[in-house]
Amino acid sequence: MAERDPFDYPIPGEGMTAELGSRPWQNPPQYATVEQALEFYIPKLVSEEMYDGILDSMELGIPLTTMADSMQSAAVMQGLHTVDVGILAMPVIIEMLAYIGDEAGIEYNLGMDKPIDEDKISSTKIALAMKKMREKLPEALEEREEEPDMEEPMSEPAPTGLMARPAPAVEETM
Amino acid sequence: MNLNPAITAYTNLGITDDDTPKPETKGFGLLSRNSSMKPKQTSNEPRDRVRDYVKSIRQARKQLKHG
Repeated sequence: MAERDPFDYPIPGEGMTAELGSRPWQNPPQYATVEQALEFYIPKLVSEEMYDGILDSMELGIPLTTMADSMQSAAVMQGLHTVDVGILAMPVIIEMLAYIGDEAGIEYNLGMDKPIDEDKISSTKIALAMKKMREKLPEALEEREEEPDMEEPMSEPAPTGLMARPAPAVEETM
Repeated sequence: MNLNPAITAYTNLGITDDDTPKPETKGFGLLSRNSSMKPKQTSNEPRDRVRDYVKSIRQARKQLKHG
């Protein structure tokens, strides 16, 4: 049996790759400009096949921003347009979806709500916690407030200039 | 944390509700200029074109709401 060349093996992970250009997004896009992409999107949004689905999604409360992002991501994967054209077209898609929702009289979620920062504690919660603490430990808080200030007064730094007055010698009375 | 690029793209267009052009103030002095020196801004960047499209659809939405 002939020995096999030790370097003639697949590179780890090679099975998960594809040849350059074999994917749709690695080829020139079908719609190169924003206008061309919008000419594709807008008739599609108002077409009978998509119209009902869009309204159903709106009624379910799916944000319009999420819908627009999904649409453009899918189109990028199909090689219809590039990512940057998709990003540029998204505001128009969102506005068009909002127009469709308004026209149909549906309350939709635009998806612009500010996310709640869970790490930030509100001032009302802090005030409530302080109040509870005062109720539970009034003595401890009073003692803390009555404590005298233990900080030493800061002494002024001695002047170091040539013309500065010399510091008075401390007389030792022993 | 905002993970959806659509929100950023939509909010960063810089569209204001009040886009009425300000009337040009003209000097009345003898030596005042006859025409405005400001160059007319006619940008043809994709972002500006998208802003115009969004504006026109928004205008149509307003008309739809207010009749």
